[in-house]
Amino acid sequence: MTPRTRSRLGIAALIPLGGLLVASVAGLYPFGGFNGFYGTRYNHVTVEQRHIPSAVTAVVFDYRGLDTMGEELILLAAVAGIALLLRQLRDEGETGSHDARPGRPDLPPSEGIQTAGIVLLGFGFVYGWYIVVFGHLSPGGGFQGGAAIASALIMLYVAGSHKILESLAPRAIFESVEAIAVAGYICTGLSGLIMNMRFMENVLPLGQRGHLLSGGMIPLLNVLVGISVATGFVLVAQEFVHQAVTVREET
Amino acid sequence: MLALLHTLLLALVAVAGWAVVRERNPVRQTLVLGFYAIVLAVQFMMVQAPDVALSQITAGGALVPLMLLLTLSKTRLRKPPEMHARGPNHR
Repeated sequence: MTPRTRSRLGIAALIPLGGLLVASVAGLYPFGGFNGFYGTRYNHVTVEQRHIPSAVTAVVFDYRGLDTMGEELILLAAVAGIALLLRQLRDEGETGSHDARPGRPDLPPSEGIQTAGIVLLGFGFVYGWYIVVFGHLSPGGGFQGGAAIASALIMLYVAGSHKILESLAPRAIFESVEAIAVAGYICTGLSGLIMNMRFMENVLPLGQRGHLLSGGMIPLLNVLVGISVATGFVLVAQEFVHQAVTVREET
Repeated sequence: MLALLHTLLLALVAVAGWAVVRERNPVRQTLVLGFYAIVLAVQFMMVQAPDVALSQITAGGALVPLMLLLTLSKTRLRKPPEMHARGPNHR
């Protein structure tokens, strides 16, 4: 099938589907008009019950904290699966970078990339932690901040080399830290079980709305999720980099 | 005015998706995919979902293209199995 035939077939299929899409979107509620029960209820009760202004974070980490625990375990399983899949087999050896002659050191990246990388790494790291820590006061939270921190740490590879990434973000330490953070999340839920006989029940003082230490367990859960997401993503990138750059089939 | 902006952004999302499909070179497709992720993030911001937009920007703009490009680099550098004197399946 030639590309032109593919294009024509694609357009011929898209026209009725596009018509259906437009018809369905036109039949939606106007933007802002919501007819569900829980959405409007959460908007009303979040500030009094949890003392934080961000209803999204309250739903994710408090009202539906159990689902977030499931998401944490999904991330852990995905990272473990990638580490298992990209492990070094018996007939693969570790060599230097493939664009370096054997016996010579790797080429450093250009100075522009190094400078941009240092700036992005510093700024991204601090800004990522800001997004994590202030997750209950402004949009953000553990996942978003963790992904931002991981993107900043990957600058170690982009603007440095894979050796710098391996030495400053060692896999053994990051694996342990991620496991401890996920276990910490579960233990925080268990503390609710121990003290109040309900899993994930709030046991910390709620504080005052707008302050950094408000919302009970929500800031703690935010930080734990941020740590585990950041280390998880860096581990995934490390596995890919290790496999793509250093591992070779021994012939 | 706002409805016009919504419509324009949705049309941009559709065009970006079409561009991702029509680009056949995998390395270039990765970059077009990154552009598509950013356009989607703007769309999410447009409907007032900043948390989702943050996740989309980091994951779709930084992490997914990185993984794709590393995979492409690994699969392109693999040498084809060499021919030995006793046949191609002998190691």
